[in-house]
Parts: sequence; structure tokens; C-alpha cells
Amino acid sequence: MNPFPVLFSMFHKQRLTLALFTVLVAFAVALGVAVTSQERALRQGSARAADKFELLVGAPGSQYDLVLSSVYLRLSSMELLSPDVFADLLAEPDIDWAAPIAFGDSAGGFPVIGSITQFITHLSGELAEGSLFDAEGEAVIGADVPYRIGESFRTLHGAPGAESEVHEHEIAVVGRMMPTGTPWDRAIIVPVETMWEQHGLPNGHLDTDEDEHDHAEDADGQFDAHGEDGHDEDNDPEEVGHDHEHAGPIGPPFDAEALPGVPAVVVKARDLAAAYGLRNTYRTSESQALFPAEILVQLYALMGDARGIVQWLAMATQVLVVAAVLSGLVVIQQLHTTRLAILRALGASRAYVFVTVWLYFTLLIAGGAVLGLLLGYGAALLVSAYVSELAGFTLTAILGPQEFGLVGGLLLIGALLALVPAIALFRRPVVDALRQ
Amino acid sequence: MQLTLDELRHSFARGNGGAPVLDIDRLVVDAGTFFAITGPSGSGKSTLLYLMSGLLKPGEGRIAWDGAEIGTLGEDARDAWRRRNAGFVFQNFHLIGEMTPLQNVMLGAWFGHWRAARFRDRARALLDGFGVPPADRPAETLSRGEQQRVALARALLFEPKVLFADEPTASLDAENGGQIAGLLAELAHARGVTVIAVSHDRDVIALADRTIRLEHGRVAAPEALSR
Repeated sequence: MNPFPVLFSMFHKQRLTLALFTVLVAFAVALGVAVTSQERALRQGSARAADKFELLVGAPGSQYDLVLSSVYLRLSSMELLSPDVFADLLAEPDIDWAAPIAFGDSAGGFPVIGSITQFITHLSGELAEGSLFDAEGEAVIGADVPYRIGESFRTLHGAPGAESEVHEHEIAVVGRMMPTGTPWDRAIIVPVETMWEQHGLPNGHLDTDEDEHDHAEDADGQFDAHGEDGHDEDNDPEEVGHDHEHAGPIGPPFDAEALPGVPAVVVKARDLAAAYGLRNTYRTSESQALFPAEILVQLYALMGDARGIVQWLAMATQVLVVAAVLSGLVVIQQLHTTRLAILRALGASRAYVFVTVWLYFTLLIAGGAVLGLLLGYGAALLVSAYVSELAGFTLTAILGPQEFGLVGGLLLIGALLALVPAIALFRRPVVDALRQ
Repeated sequence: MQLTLDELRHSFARGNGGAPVLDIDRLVVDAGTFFAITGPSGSGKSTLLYLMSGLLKPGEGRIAWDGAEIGTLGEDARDAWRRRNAGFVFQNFHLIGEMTPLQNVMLGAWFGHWRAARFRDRARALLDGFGVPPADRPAETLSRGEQQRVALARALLFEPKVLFADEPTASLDAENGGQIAGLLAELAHARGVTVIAVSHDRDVIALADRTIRLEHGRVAAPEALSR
């Protein structure tokens, strides 16, 4: 038994109509595939971006702000972690390092973040080019920042899009990180001391602080990402630039007495138990500590609810489209009734007619489903590229079991629905059709 | 194959309240006979053809080919009998227009056999014999006479012992109709195929060995019209 020559002739006879039906099914499937694969890409991409941020410590406030600002560089005005708490954290025996994350400036539309070299190495591993900074006034840039090694720039006060005044100190690019697929690919990382000094704060080191600057009036250590912090230098042109000799020590160890507050601290604990211990220790009235993953889990739970609804809607749409298409095809199928009756008269078995009709419908649905899978995947790739640009972290849309399950489910439903016309034609008396 | 009908009664309950549309006491058609059935519309000609071919199951009575009754067989068994023993030709040819003549002739091979390719040479030979090129063009582009010859070739692919023809010349002009009638007669007389043809065509009736006329489901003139 070979139903395919007859099947192909049936397809050929109504190729335009069938192409239209196939495209309708494909669009319905593509909708579902794009939604699920995109949602997963968003989840995986955001989780990957948070991988390197084991434990975050910040001032009490919104957990979401702390994660969004530190991990995703969606910078917002945040309370600063007090210098005392920061100093306590630095003194913890169970940490490998604690990296301050100081932000509030930008350059060329890219956020400038003050931190330490251990954090850069943690994010990037080896650098793509250049070296780590070893003095103030130097910067290591993310993979997507378009500066060249050796190029200098001046930073602006304020996050990208909210810049106000220009800092006078020139920053020179000395290194570039490997691509991380995170928003940090678009970050400019400078020694945290540079950030502190530019905002008129103690720079964390007693010697240089006393020698080079007078930050007495900033003893509370507060500065705000968009705030009206003291910029002593701004009022004294003679002090600008040259006063910062950039010769003092950078990075840890810091002097507790010379520490300002910081928006956030990324902590690398010695082990998981230590991380949990620190998380508990720093959940106080003066600080909050959290694993970014736990915040993401909350976000995913919200996304999951929305995804569930969208998925059901997409599935319902698909089933409705398939049912509508099959209904249309059943009408069209009437045109084939006489042809199939002729086959019976010529000796074709009922099984042959049944298989031919069932395959006719099932292959149409399958064709639409496969086309929809490809269209949906293509749409997810396009949306991923767009969202990657917006979110700053890499979204990689891939087809997974969920999408294949969706298409498989639709195929199963389609194959079951296709039984209806197949059985109807199977049971239809041949002579009735021949007399038409 | 010899056909024997005995006490054949058939009715369509929905059509006329159960009154028989066919009522034939006995009819025997010998093997190799060109047998024509004529009569006015609604007289039961096509119904009789469908009963003889096993497309319909008789309400009552016996339909036997070479003594083997087909009326009591199930639908699948009747399909199989038809596949093994019979060919069919229709008034409107009923070719698959998008297929080539060769593909149309091969049709029965596809639904009847796994190794359809072995029938290809025979299909070509049949088309050659009927003067139809098995060219790679759709059958719907052939002339009507050619289309009916393709339909005849299709019916003969498996060398059937019986050929059923339902108004085989009704859609053709006189010349082509005459040719088809001649081919049917030749099949019966030269190859021993039992040809059962429903027709009003004088050429067919003239060439038939026997003709019966049906009126209201009964044989009105069993022998008067025969040669």
C-alpha cells in the first residue's frame, strides 16, 4: 500500500488553499514556541548574569533595587551601606574578598563602577587585552565598551542618561574584560578609590586620604548615585586633576577609619556554609544581605504565573486554529469524496482510503507545526537579540523539550482530530459518492 | 468469469420507502460475453452494475462469479475481490487530472501492491496499445477520447477477468465512442474478458453479445435487444 502518490495529487490540487491553512497553523504554533523559548531565554540569561554574584550586602531597603543595581546595572538611587558595617564585613574571616560596588558616574553612555581588581578577575577570568588597573585614574572596560586600550576619557556625574557635571580627572583604559554575557560587558570599572575621591569621600586608605585630600566634611561617607554630593574639587579649580596624584594604594586592605559608605558589596565567601552564615549575620536593621538567586526565584515565580497563562492561551489558540483549519479542510475534503470513491471502485480498500485521508490532515498539521516551530524559533532569536540589547545581558533562545512538547501535543491533537474525517470517509458508502 | 444472479432484490429504504429498485429473478452472463444493460434513467442500471461489482451488497438474492458468491462477503472482502478480478470504467473517466497518464494507469498498483514498480512496463504497454503517449503531462490536458483510453488502460492493468463500464461512451463524440465500444468488444471476444456495460450508445449495443433493458428495476426485454 502506497498512499503517497494519491496524497500528493490531493495536495497539489489545492496547494494554495492548503498553503494558507499551513501558514495559519504555523503562526499559531510560532506564537507558543516564541513565548516559551523567549521566557526561558530570559530566565536563563538573567540567572547566568547573576551567577558571579554570590552574596550581596547593602543598606536596608528594596531587595530588588539592590539586585537590579548591582547585578544588572539598572542603577537607581540607593541608601548606602554604613562604613561601620562595610568595615565589619571586610574584617569577616570567612570571606575571600568583599568587593564594593560604587556607582553613580558614567562615560560615553556607559556606567562607571568603582570596585577592586579581585572582582574584575572574578567576573572576567583572564582579561581579553591589557592589564588590571594598579593605580587610580585607570580603568578596565567591559567587552562591549568601545574604548581602546590607552584611550582616555572623563567621567560624568550621574548614571547614563542622567548625567549632570563632568568630573575633571582623566581616566585611562588599561584593560578589557572577556565577554561575560552580562550587563557588565558595558561597564567601565575603575578603582573604587577613584570613585570615592571624585565624590569627595574618604578613599579607604588613611595615608593617602590625609596626604592628598581633605574629606572631613564627608565623614559620614554618604554619597548618592544621583545625589548632591560634595565635590570639593568642583569649587576649587586649582585642586582639580593634579591634586590626585593617583599614587596611593588601591584595593584592599582598606582602613576602617577611612571607609565611606557604599551602595553595595559583593561578597565571595569561603564556602556555601559561610555564605549562609554571612547572609544571616548581615540581615539586621543596618544592612540587608541576600543571594541574588533568591530574588530571581521570586521574579521567576511571578514570570512563571504569567508564562503559565500565556502558555495556556497560546495552546488554546493553537487548538482553535487547528480545529478551524480542520473544519475548513473537511469542507474541502468533500471535493475529494468522489475521487476516493473511484479509488474504492478500482479496488482500494477502506483502510487505504482511511490512511490516505488521515495522512492528508495529519501531514498538513505536521507541516504547519514544523514550520511554526521554525518561525517561532526565528522570532525568539530576533526578540532575544532585541531584549539582550535592552537588558544588557545575553539571551540565548534555544528550542527545548517544552517547545517540542508543545508541537508534539499539537500534532497529537491534530492526528486525533484527523481521525474524524478519516472515519467519516471510511464509513461513507462508495455508491453514494459515485452517484454524486 | 461467469455471472449468475438469482432472486435478486434490492431497495434503498431511504429513497422510496423500501420498494425494490431492482427485482431480477435470474440472469446468467457467460465468461467472455460483451453484455450491455440499457434502460431509462432511474431504471436501476447503475445499481445493478454496482451490485454485480460488489460495490453494493444485495438486499436479497445471490450474486455469484464462477459460482463464488460475493453478495455475502464483507466490504473488505468485496474490495479485495474487485481488486483481483475486476476493472472499472466510468462515464466521466475519473482520472486524477494532475497525474500523468502513466501514473493514472499505475493507480491500482499503488493501493494494491507494495512493489508497484513491477507494473510499470505493463502500464506503458497498455498506453502504447491504446495509442496514448505516457508523456509527462497531466492527464487533464488529454483529449476526452484519450482520457477514456487511459481509463480503460487503468482498468486493464491487472488483466481483470471482468470489466464494468458505466456509460463508457456517454461523454465522447461518435468517433471516440465507436473506438471505445470496439475496444470493449475486442476485450470480450479476443481476450475472454466478461464486459458488463451500462450504456445507451447504439454502437455499444450493436457490438454487445447480449443486451438487457431494465424498466422499473425489472428486465423488460431480456433477449429482444440481443444480437
